[in-house]
Amino acid sequence: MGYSSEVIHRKFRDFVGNRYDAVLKDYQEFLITEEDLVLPEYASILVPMDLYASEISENVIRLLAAYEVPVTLVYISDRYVHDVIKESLGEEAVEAYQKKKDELGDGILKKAEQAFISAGASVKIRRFIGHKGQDVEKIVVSEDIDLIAVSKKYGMAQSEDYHLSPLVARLTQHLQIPTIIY
Amino acid sequence: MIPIETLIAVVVFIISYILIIDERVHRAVAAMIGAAVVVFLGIVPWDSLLEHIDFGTIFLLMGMMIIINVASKSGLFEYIAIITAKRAKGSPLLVMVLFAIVTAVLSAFLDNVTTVLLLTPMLLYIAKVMKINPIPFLFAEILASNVGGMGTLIGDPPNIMIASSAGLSFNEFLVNMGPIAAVDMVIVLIFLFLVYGKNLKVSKDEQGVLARTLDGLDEQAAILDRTLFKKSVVVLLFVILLFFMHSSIGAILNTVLPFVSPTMTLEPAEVALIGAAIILLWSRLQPEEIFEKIEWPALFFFGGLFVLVGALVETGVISDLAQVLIGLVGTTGEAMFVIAWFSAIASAIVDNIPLTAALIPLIHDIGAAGVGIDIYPLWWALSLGACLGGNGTAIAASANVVVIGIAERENLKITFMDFMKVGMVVLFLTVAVGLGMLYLMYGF
Repeated sequence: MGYSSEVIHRKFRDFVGNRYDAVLKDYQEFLITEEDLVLPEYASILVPMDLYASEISENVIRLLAAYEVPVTLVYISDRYVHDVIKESLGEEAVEAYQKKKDELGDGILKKAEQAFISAGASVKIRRFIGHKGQDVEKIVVSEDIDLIAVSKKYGMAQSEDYHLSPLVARLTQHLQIPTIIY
Repeated sequence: MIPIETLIAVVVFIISYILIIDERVHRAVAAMIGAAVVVFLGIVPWDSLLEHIDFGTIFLLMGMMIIINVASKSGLFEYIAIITAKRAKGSPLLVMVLFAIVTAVLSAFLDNVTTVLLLTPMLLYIAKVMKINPIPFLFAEILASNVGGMGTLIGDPPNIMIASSAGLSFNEFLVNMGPIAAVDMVIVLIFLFLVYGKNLKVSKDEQGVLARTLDGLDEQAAILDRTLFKKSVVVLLFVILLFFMHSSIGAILNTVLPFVSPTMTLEPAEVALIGAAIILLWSRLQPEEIFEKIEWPALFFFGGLFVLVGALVETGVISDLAQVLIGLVGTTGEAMFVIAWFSAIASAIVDNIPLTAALIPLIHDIGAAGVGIDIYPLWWALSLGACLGGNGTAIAASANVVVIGIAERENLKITFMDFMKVGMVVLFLTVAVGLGMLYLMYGF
């Protein structure tokens, strides 16, 4: 290091102290870093749906379609409700209930599938009876899902009034993959 | 035979000056040690010590430090940096020009270190996104900071010292130095375009991509405290307005408050301290938090320096030098020429603050000698040389040191010679044009 460099070094230390580090810290709060500019690579996306998470906004669809990877839309009917109806009202009642639920689920899935196809995404749809939380976790592991997009109302009961469904909060804690909450 | 007190005062001043330039000892400590020696030996007695310390300068710096510290907590300056980046529309050349203009304007009203400290990270970020060499941006920022600082009373420490000692108003500075700063900024921008223009070209497609990236920056996210942001803007504008009116505040107030004397004026330091009091009260921030961020070392540096120069005044060194200068020059025009070029070249080599502190009493002595030299234009010549001399070398001004220091931390090397090749050309061009304009203004 030459003399002039040493002088600049010393003067910089005396003029600025640790103010530069504080300024840098403030800037890091809102400047897009190089990592932010690189679009993360995902191979598969899962979108869990139900009666309360039946609408997906156009912006979310466009964002997910931009990754150009298969999107799996899954509609899960709650097995607990299914079993309660079966035990209390019998086989015939549960079949009627399930028929209605299937029609509803198919309608929601078809509408969402159409919207994704229109946005240029390839879509797979699935509908089954299960646990809305545990089964989503199982699909993520078994099908090697990289990204999950879930409505903040997913798994919410009609009587509940949360900003974020407790089930979604639990999913975000348990899942080890990036999650988009819309 | 030189009296021993004179010899001691000169030797202590020179040693302190060397220590200040070298910075092996903190400049505040170097100035205080030198002051301690001359006080201890009775060269500057206590009664005259307080007269030599220019409290106008110290309180003005202190008041502005408080205002800027509060304002910077709101994210105001980062907000300005993002807005400027977006306005460039992805063009590196526009980034250089717009940031140079913003730096010059901010430096005219804030201290140069704060200005470049807050803008440099943004420039480095933009250069990184654009994948171009940031050196032209950094040079533009340094040069603009020194030129812009010259334009107002509060823009650069030499101006504050000159105004405080000579009793010059904010508007006088604006009228005399503002146009020179504006013309010199145009010269700097043309010079930078000629030197770096070809390195700052990108294709239309690249420019579009860069514009989109910069548009992605959210200036609202930079605002850390929205209420404080608004209050800071209001107080800053109020303080600037008060600076414009400080020399005629009595006449203005008298129209609505008849008990106020129409001849009343406010010192610039009073304006800064009034602004500081208002922002401290209105912001509701803990005063301890703000007071501890005042750059006390800088204030003690000025205090020590005034005492050191006081020793030269007390021992008659300054008046002897004034006599020498009077012997060399016959007219005001010649004195302006000597002061402008001497202070410019000396400021490029040594620190311009001690130099200005020493030249101020010298100019007073020239005036007191009654040899027909009008000292009023000499203040502007000193401001011109002391401020623009800062562009000459890498260590000539605090803005240079800060920007080059930041560049080094980001692994960008600007050598002393690299800087001097650009800086010296700018120094000679801007001082020559500035002096020419002063001659035109004062009819020489």
